[in-house]
Amino acid sequence: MPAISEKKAVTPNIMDSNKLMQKQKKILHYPSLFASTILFFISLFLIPLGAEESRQSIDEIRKSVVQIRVFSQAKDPFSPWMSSGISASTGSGFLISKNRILTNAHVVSNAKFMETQRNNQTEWYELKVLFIAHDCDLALLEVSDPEFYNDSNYLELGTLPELASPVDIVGYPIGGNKISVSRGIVSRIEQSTYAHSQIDSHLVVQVDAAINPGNSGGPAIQNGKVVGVAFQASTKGENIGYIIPTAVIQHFLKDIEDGIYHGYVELGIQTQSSFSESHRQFYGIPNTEEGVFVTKVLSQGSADGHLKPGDYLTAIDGRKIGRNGNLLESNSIDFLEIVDNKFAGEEIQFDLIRDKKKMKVKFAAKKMPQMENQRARYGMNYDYLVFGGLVFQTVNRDLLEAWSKNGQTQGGSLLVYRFYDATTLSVGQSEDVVLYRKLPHPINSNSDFYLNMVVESLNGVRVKNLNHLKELVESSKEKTLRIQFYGIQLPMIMDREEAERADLEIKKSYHLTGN
Amino acid sequence: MPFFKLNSKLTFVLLLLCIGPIFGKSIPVVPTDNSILQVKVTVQYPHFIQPWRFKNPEVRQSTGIYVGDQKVLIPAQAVYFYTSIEIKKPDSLKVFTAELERLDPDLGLAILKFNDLNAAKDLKPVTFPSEIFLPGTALVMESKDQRSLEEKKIRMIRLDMDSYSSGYTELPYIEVQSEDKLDGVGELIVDTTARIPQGILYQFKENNMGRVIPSFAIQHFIEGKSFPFKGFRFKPLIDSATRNYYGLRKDDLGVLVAEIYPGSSADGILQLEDVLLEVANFKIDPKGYFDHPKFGKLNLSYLFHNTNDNDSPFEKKIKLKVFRNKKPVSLEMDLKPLPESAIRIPYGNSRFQTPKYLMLAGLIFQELSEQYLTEHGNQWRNRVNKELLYLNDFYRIKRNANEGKIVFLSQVLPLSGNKAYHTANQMILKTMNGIQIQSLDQLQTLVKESNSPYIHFVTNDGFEMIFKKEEIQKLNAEAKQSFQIQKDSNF
Repeated sequence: MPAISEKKAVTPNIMDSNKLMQKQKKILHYPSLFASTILFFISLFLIPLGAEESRQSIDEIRKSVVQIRVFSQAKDPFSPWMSSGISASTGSGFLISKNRILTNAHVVSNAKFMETQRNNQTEWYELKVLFIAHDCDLALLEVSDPEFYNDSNYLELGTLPELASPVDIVGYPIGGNKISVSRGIVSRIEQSTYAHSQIDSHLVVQVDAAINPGNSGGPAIQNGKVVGVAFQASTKGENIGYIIPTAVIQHFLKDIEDGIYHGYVELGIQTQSSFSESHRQFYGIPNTEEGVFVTKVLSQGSADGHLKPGDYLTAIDGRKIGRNGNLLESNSIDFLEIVDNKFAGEEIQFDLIRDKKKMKVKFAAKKMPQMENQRARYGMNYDYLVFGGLVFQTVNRDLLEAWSKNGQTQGGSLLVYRFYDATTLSVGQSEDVVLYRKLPHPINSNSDFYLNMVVESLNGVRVKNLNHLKELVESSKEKTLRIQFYGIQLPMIMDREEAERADLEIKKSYHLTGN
Repeated sequence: MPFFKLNSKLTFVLLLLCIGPIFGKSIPVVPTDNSILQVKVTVQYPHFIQPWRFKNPEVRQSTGIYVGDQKVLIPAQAVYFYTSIEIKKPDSLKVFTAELERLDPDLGLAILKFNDLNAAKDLKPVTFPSEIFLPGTALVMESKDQRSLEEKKIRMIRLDMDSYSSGYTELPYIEVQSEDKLDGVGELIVDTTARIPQGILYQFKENNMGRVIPSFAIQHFIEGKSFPFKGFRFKPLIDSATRNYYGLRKDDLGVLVAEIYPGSSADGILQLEDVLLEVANFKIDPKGYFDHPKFGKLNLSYLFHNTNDNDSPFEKKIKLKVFRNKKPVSLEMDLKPLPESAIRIPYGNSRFQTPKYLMLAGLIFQELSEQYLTEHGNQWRNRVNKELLYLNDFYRIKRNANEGKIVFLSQVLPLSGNKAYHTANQMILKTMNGIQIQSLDQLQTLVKESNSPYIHFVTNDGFEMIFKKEEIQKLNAEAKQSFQIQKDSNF
């Protein structure tokens, strides 16, 4: 596992938490050329001062930055009964309180054993994960041995850095065991996809400093305070790195205050802009009102049951929304950013026009369970069902990637289409279950026709999820199991007793253990 | 014809021996016959992504075979979207022109007719008999450039059934093998000893294997007849669990009816999940084969699609025996050609269909076809909208006669009047003013006849596009001028 996930050069067609609702927009645009030039020259004048300050605090910074060594092992989603090889990697982290270490989730994902060391320490100290947040790529760690903290220091969180201001990236890149500091300039602040989960989109700060494997989890420092955590690099150009800003870090720290990490909430709607006058007139929207139209409300999202397609959203929490979906006050922040900063249970309030009448709608923010299968997952076992040598699993991102790597690029359009379209689940269904491979045995020699198809029902009962399929198979007293797949008119027929007998041989032959 | 009432293989073979010579006008073809011609066709394919445009013209060379009455037989693939046809006779510098007379997209053959009545004066027509000699060696007769006729050797291995060059209907073909490099562009195949025409080579691959259209199918086409289609697809029935479920005994034969085309020969006769046990008194094995007395094991489609005079089912009632709801049922089927109306998403070859488009307010609407998707390059499966891909994979054929075409918004021509929708593309159109859309013709009529002041489009994922009715023509005029598009629609 690389210590740092490279940001994809081309954003894959993923169901991004915000893209899901609407096309991603940049949270902050470039300031005008004039403003950036002024800022640049101001920053030039400030650099000697800042550098002096950095020099003064560099010893204190050294005391707070740690190197992390991780031995990890993941499960193979394509063969979920097997584990992959054991790999070693390194990353960085820093103390943010007396005995808490902050780093990236991807540094410690799938870890079986972790250890850490501060600058000038000779001993490695065993680490444990207190909280891990894959959706924002952050983790909080702790060392149990108090000796590790002797003569240590912790860093304070600062604010969002200004564009064109300098930041120092501190860490242990490319395997070296000596601390490294590299300086970059903040070149862009925007909302972007986090490569670790491949779906969640939050604020990022782009810097023109090299962020290399091993840098991950290290602090980005400005004026002696942490302004972000180094976490990913761009493959588009050299020396472009990204840091997670403090707003996201604070969201994470606040979330875990009650001892549990809950994760981000989702509004669960799709919207479209309202630039068209005819479109606005059709819905009777006065010219003085700005906002966006709701086109779809996703089931189980926060807005489910509260907003409707055709609603015209004019304000969120009293802050007016423009025709392009940005907040009017700044015209640079997507209104969804307001939801991104909330926690489960907090209220979201919309001013809207529905059926030509102005109204207010309030509802509680909540997580969307179906997002879990859209997100790359770590440190977990993949649940599966083998029946008659046929392997069934929940459609999820990890399986889809493993499926693609196994050369299954043809014939899986149903599986792929349903994965990318969050609205294909039928009422009562919580996930898609796919027959994605078979362990060859004479009993399943005729089943290729059904490979890569999504299960619709078993003996006439609509399958809600993998557990439901398992229950149906286990509890069935029927001699024959009749499995219907989406898109195929003929069912697959299996003899329950024959399949159970074959499974004993198959599990032995293919070394299936557990589950 | 009593043939299908006979059950004994021996009787069948004896009958073949007796009636064979009556049907077979076995006229040999020799190199001096002046039957093999060179055909140069210039084609200009339409652009499926920008359907108001055409691609650059290309030249296709193929072999033509003179079949008499001013007619030349060539592969259909060579003449789709032709702009000019030139034919050269052996040892002649003069070029004659011709026009397309007829084409069968499933058989992959076309007939050209000379424009000049004198063109065929010294040509000797080739007659395609109904007999073929399998297995055996044969000669490939081809004419290249200005050189004289060349002959290469080929081995004819077996007769089988499959669809040709992305056609829709399975038809008989002869599998061949050769050590020589061949083109597979309509060369004539004659048997080595008697030089009787055996067929036309229409495909030859790098593994030295090729396919020949058998002479009896060519004869049938030249006579102007259409090809029958069974109207259903089947699934092998080889596992015991499935066989038990459908009530079959261990030794029973049969395959499962898996798909029925609406309006076809099978529509109203067969049902999904029927087990097809016998066709024309031939027993069908669990993989879908029967024992042909001359050609050995053949796919059951032969009993429906074959046009060999000796055992052709065309224009006859075919007897079927099926196992339905665990009871044997006897049925009779009239064979009809493939109903094009059953095709929801055209696939395979272009069948001379120019992609249709309808422009409304600068929005380009099209009907989904496989050609539209494959135009996106080698990686088209990764590039196109996943829902369109899924529909193309699983819903090419209508599941009932009421299902319509897939109408989708392929792109928006950017104008200031439709700027709210510039990024929309590859979205399936669900409704227009609340009415479900099933074809471009219907959409065009609905928009024209609408009394509503607004035209309101909604796509499958809820995206809406709304225009005042008077805006549609104004924006179309602007789009035509700005993007040099001739017409609002091409149908």
